[in-house]
Amino acid sequence: MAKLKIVLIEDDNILAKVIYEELEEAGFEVDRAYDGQEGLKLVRSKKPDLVLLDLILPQKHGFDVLEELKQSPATSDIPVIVLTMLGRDDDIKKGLKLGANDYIVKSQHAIAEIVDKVDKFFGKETRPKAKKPEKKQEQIKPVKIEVKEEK
Amino acid sequence: MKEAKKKSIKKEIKTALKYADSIIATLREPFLVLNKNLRVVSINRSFLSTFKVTEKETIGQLLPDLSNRQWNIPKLIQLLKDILPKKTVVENYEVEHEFKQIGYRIMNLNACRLRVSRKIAMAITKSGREEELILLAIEDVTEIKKFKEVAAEKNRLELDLKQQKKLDKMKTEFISVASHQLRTPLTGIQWAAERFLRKEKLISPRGKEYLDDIQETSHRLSNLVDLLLNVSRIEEGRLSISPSHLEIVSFIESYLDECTALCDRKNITLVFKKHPKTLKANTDKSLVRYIVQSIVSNAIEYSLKGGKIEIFLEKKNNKFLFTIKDTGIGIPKKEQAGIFDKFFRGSNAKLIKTDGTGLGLYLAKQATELLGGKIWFKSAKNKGTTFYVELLLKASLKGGRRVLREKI
Repeated sequence: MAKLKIVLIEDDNILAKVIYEELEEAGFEVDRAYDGQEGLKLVRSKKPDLVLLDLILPQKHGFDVLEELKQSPATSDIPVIVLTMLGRDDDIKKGLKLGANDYIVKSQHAIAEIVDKVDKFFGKETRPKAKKPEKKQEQIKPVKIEVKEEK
Repeated sequence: MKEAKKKSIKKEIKTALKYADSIIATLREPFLVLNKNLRVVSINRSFLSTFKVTEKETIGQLLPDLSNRQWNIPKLIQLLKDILPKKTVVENYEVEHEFKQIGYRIMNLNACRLRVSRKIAMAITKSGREEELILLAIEDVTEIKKFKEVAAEKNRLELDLKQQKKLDKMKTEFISVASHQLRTPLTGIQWAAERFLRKEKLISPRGKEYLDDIQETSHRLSNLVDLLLNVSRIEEGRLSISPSHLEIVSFIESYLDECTALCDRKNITLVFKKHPKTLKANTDKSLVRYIVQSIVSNAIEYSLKGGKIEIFLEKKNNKFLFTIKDTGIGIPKKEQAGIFDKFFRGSNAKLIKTDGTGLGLYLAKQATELLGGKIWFKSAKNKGTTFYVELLLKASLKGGRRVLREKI
C-alpha cells in the first residue's frame, strides 16, 4: 500500500523538524513548507492526503492558506488539521469555520500525541508507545489546568 | 413756582436714590462705599450677610477697624488710599483671609473712584461735603477657586487614568505577544527532549535524569506562560465562556483523583463526602475546573504535612456552593484584603513556596465572576483557610458577551 502523503506547513525549523521526523517514522510521506505561499503551492502540486497547517506563517497567514485551499475545487477535498500555538477560542472557531477538520494546540501536546492524532485521523490503530491522547474537551479552552497555584 | 421746582427736583433725587438703593440692595456682590479716609459711608445688604456683620457696627467705621481689624490688610489699605489722589483703580486684587466669623475666604477686590454730586453726597453721607468717594466691590471667589482646583485635580486624575489605561493595555499586549513568542521555542525544547528520551537507546541513567529535568522544567515554564496568557486574555476581555452539560460531583471527584499522589506525599487527608449524589449544571467546564484546581491546589500547597482538606458541595436553589476547608498556614489578617489582587502573595505563603506567581486566585476570581458567581474566604493565620465559591447552575452568558471578537 502506498504511503499516505502529508504536507506540513510550519515555519519554526525545530518544530517542523520534530514533527517531520515523527511522521516519517510513523510511516507517512511528508513534504515540508516554511511559509504560507510555498505551502499553498506544495499542496496544489502534491495533492496530499492531509495538510498540517500552522497559523502564524510568513508570506501568507495560515487562515488565508486554508481559505484558498477550501475555495479551489482542486484542493477543497484535502483535509486540513490546523496546528496552532495560539489556542484561543476564536482561532479554533475560525479555523473550523473555514473548513479545517481538526486543530492541534501545539504547546499543549507531546509530539507523540500529535502523531497519534494524525494516525487516528486516518483511522489507524493508536501506536502502542504513544501516550494516551488528551480528552478533546480539554483542548477547547486553552486554560491549562495542571498549574499549581499559590495563595 | 420756584419752591415747586425745588420740590420736584428733591423728589427726583429721592426717586433716583431709591432706585439706586434697590439696585445696590439686590446686587449679590457685597460692596461698600468709603470716603477718602476709608470710612464706611454705605454698604449693601450682601456685605452684611456675607461678612455676618450689622449695619450699626459697620457704617461710620474706618475700613481697617472693621470686624476686629480684620480688614487691616496693609497692602490693600495703601491701594485704596491711592485711588483718590492718584486717580488709580484697584482691579481684581486677590485677598486671602481667615475671617473670624466666616472662615477662610478668597476675595477678588475691585475699587474705583466714585464721583457724586454734592446733593447726592449730602443724601448719602449726610454731611454734604464729600464729593469723591470710593466704591469697593468684593467678590467672594472661594468656591470658584475651590471648584477650579477640584476641576484641575479631576483633569489631572483623568489624564493619569488615561495614561494608566494606555500602560495597562501595552502591558497586556506585551504579555500576550511575549507568551506566544515564548511558547514556540518552549515547545521545541519539550518536543526535542521528548524525542531524545524516546528515540535514543543509549542514554545513560544520568543522562535520562537530565533529560527528565529538562522536560519537567520546560513543562513548568510552559504552565507559567499559559498562566500569563490567561491573565492577558481575561484583561483584554477575550476569555469567552462556552457552557456545556456538566455533572459537578464526578467532575470534582475526577480532579481530586489527580491530586491523590501529591496528597499522599504530604500525608494530607483529602475528604469529599458531603455532596449531593449528582449535581447537574450547565456551565463552562474549563473555567470551573480552573477555579476548583486553583483553590484545591492552593490548599494542598499551603497545608503542612499531616493536614486535612475537606471539600463540600451543596445545591442552593439555582446555585451551587463549593467549599474547601484546609488546616494550612492561613492568610494573615492584614493581608486578606489583597488576596485576590494580581501578583499578590501572602507573606507566609512566600516563605513556604518561593516560586508562586500570585496569579492563581486572581484568575480564579476573574473566572468566577465571568461565570456570574462569587468567591470569598475565611482565614486565620496558622489555623487554616476556607474558600467558598458560589456559582450558577446555569452559567449566565453575561460575562461572555463582554468578550470582544478578536481580530487576527
